[in-house]
Amino acid sequence: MARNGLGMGGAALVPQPIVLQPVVIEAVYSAAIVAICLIIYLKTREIEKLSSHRGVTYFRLTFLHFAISYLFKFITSLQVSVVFRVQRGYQVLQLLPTAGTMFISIYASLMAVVYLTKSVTWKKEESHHEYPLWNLVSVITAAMTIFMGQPVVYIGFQLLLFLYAIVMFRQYEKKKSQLIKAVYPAMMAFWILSIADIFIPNIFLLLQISVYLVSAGLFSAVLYKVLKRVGG
Amino acid sequence: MSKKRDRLKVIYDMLKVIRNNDNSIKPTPLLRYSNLSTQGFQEYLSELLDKGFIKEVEDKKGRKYYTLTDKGFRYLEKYSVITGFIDDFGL
Repeated sequence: MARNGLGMGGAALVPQPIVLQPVVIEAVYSAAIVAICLIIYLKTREIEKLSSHRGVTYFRLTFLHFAISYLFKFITSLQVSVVFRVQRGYQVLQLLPTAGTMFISIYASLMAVVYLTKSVTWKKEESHHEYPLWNLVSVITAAMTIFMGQPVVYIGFQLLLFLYAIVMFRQYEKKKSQLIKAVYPAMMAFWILSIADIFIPNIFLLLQISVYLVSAGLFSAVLYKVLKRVGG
Repeated sequence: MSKKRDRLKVIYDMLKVIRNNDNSIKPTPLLRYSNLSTQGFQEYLSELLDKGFIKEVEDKKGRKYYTLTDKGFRYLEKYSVITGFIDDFGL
C-alpha cells in the first residue's frame, strides 16, 4: 500500500525515489486478483439469484470487496508514485485523493474478511444484525489508520479479524472442505503479508513477488473450484 | 429417521411435483405431495410466487392451478449445481 513511503501520517510522507518495476509488478498482480474476484462474483450471480442463500450472498460479497480493495490499493500506490514523481514538494490537498482511495481499500479489505467468515458461520449465529457494527468498526479503523497516521491500527485489526476467522473456521469445520481448513486462512494470511509493506517500505522485491504469487495462486484455486462447479 | 429437509430441498421438491404433474397442479394435491404442514406450505407457496418460480392460473371455472415459470424450470435444472456449490464452499 505505501510502497513508496506514503505511510499514513504527515511524518511518514517522505518522497522516495521511484522504481518503475515494483509498480508494474503490482499493476499485473492487482489486475489479476481483481479479474479473478470479479469473475467469481459474476459467475455466482445466478446461483444467488435462484437460491437466495445467505451463505452464497456473503461469499459473493467477500470477493466483491476483495476486488474493490485490491483495485484501490493499486490506485493508491499509483497515485503516490505519480505525486512524488512529478514534484518533490506537495501540498496536503494533493494527498486527499490518495487518502480517499486508501480509505476505500482498507474498509473493503476489512469487510471482505468479515463476509468470508460470515459465509461459513451464518447458520449458527442467532443474530444477523451486527453488520452496522462491523461496518462502523471498519470505517473507524480506516479513518484512524489514515488520519492518525497509524498503520498499526489497520494491521492490528486485520490480524484480530484473522484470528477471529480462524477460531470460527475451526469451530464450524466438521463438515467443511479443505477450502475452509486451508485455503481461506492462507488467503487472509497472505493478504496481511501483502500489506506488510506499510511497515517495511523497502521490503525485498523477491519476497514481495513471492507473496503476490502465492496469493494469486490461492485466489486462482478458489476461482478454479467455482468454475468447475458452475461451469466456465 | 430421515433428515429434516432444508429450504432449498423443499423448494426443489415442490417444483418437481408441479413439473411431474404436467406442469399444472391444484393447491390441495400440491400440499399433499409437498409433505408440509398447512402453515409451512403457505409460507413456501408465497415464497415461490414472490420469487417468480411458479405462477397461479385460473381455468374457465375459476379453479386455481400452479405452473412453473422459466425461472422455476431453471431452478430444477441448477439445483444440483447450487447444492454442490454450497457444499464445496461450506456455505
